[in-house]
Amino acid sequence: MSKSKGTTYTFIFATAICFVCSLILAVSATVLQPRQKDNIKLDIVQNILISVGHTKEELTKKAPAESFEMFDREFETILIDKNNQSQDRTFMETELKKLGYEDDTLKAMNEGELVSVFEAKLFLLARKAGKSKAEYNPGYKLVYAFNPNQTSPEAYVVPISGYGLWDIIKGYIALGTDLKTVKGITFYEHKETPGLGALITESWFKDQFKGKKIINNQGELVSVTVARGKASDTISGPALDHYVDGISGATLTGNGLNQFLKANLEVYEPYFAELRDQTTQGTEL
Amino acid sequence: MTAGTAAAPAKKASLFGKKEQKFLKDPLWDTNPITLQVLGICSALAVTSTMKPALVMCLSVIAVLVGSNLVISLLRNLIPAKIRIIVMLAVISTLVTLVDQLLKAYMFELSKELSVFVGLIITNCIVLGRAEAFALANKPWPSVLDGIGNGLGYSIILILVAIGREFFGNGSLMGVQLIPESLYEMGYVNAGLMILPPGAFILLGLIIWVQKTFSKTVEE
Repeated sequence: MSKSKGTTYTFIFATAICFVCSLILAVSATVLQPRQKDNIKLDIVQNILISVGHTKEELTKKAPAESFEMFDREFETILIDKNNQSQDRTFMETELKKLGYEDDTLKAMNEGELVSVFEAKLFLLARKAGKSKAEYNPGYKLVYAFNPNQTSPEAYVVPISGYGLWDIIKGYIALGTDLKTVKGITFYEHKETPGLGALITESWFKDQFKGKKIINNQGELVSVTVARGKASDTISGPALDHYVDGISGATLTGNGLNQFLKANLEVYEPYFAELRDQTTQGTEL
Repeated sequence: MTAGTAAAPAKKASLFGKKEQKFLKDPLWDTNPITLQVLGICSALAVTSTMKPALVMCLSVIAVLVGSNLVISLLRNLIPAKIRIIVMLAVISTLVTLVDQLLKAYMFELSKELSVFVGLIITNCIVLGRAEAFALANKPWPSVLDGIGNGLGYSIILILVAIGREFFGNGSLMGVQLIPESLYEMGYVNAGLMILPPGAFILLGLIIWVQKTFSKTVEE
């Protein structure tokens, strides 16, 4: 090891090490970022596809481009505002242009990306429009209608997100045409403990949600709740339709999931209620 | 990196002489980083509730350990003694961040599986411990071997603990159910304690006990 070297040397060495380390990290981050972004984009699209019944195995066999094509072919993106009116993206585009976004960049984004950029800039946009944030916020929500045969939608997929134990969990839930029955659920981003809370991404856990009801017999939104331990140990009868088995050692992840799933579904409930009315009228005719 | 490994053994005649083999083999049992040096306990508890994350963790730790030992060993005559710990940490955290970035770019599914724990390799005492205790005083090639050896020694214990925890806690291994449904119907219950951190402590304690009995090491 080095003998005592002068203070100047120590400073020079420290600076050099810092410089080299940050250079390596900066280069690697810049070089790898496009790939990482593509991965995330692909992951989101695949999760939407999986929520309506495609399997992970089926999708990983395909080239990424095919997953995107499949998504474009089978899904229709519906944008609704806080009054549950269908909207198009023009408003977001014109508003974002005021902040200096280029036309091409905006056109290249899909609705999901556009909404997240728009939401991130809400504060600035509200100030530009001279309104308070709450007043300005159009409250855009995304609904993906699964319509593979271009006839009538077979399922509706909506994004869900909220705090688990450590950080935000993001995912999608797919509801059947009755908008009461869960068709599938996926989680694509989380920081839960591996082997415990992270088990929410395992198929045995997610598959339990299939066929569960988010609406009870009285027509109230009850969401689906993760029980502590086996659901059938503590709950019986028709209520079991609203419960799934919990993960031992991951009670807090389950609690978080329960809270945000219900809160997210409540936001969409008015829109779903409208859709339900339309479909029942349709069948009566 | 390969340039360094290639240059070092050229000076020495034997690549895998008795001494070199010792660097590789000792940490597996006689000086095992977890059970005898009692380093890296934190991650041994955190990622061992099932096999899969434990295995990926092992591979990442081996990669970082070899990398950091190599870099520190190459720089060993340049690093001022006064700031050596900080320099080592800078090197280690750069390597870990690099591994994390690479996983996110090329093995996205795996990186999702490991989530926060890749970042925690920085605080794994084995990496810093080997850099300080070995790489700082040895040539690059032995340092690389020492890195591999200690990484494997760490892996063995991690895998043992993970096997115990997943089997007794979930009745499965690598996610494959091993304990048949019929046994559950007869009243068998998974040991819930095993998947919680105390389960890992108990298993680790048992492993250390067994090993010390065999190797007859006595603590002062």
